[in-house]
Amino acid sequence: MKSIIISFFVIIATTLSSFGQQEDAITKYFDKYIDDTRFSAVYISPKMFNMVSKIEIEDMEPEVQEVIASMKGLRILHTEVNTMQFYQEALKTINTNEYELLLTARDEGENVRFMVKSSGDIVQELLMVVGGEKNFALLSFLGNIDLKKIGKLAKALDIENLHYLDKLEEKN
Amino acid sequence: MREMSNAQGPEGTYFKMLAEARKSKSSLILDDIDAYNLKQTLNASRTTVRPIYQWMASAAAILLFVLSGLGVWKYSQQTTQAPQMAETYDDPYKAYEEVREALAFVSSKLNKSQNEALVNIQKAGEYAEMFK
Repeated sequence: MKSIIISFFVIIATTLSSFGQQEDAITKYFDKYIDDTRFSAVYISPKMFNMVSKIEIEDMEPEVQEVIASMKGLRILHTEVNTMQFYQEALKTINTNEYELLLTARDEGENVRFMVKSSGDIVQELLMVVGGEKNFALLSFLGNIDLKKIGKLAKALDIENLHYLDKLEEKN
Repeated sequence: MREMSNAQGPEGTYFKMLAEARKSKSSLILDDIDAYNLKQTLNASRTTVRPIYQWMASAAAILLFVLSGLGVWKYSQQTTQAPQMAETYDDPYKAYEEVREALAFVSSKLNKSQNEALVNIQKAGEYAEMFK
């Protein structure tokens, strides 16, 4: 009887903890600020990615098509208020056990961090954190991310889209 | 009763008889009760009642498992539905434009960071091979 009770509690505890891990810190971070008016946010669901990969678009580069087909989601948060504070908060929120730091760079006064969440050799999420005096942005690309292909995209698209964040703010 | 049996006269004998009859009758009943009680206590001390408890315990355990299973299932459904954020674009063409620009941004930033090659931590060296 005692063993039944003990095993019961053990099963409950393990199942509950596994469910708790499902929602990662970044998702919570997005949830926290997605309705905040200081932030401009973009969320594109797996369903929408499915639709995008099905529609026919003229002049769609095969490289882009390939990357989009492998993607499952896109989440973007951007703000121009309290940028460094949000940057520090985001870095604290990111679980370093889950996300591996890929690259850090300082570019025109902006800190850029690339992080990846991977299982084995497959990158499941590419997380880009940008923090500077003017901008704070968090970009999360979900899916089977091929970093090599993403790296080649800029050449394929023939655009240096370094001021994307400014454009993002104008649109919202 | 004793007071009654001590009484004298014809009424006295009657009461005596009655008392005796009662006594014998009641003692018979008392014996019956004693025997019954003994039987009960013997039964209780034996293992004849235990299987019922065991059956009840397993039934309660099964009930708990089923209930907790239901609870966990409902909880998991809640959590899978909760993180869904509002879709930004309804039009896949607009979504495509956004994804395209975001990808171009990440790609160019990634290349720029790569070229500068400021810091390589942990597995960065390994990944650097991937970009060549």
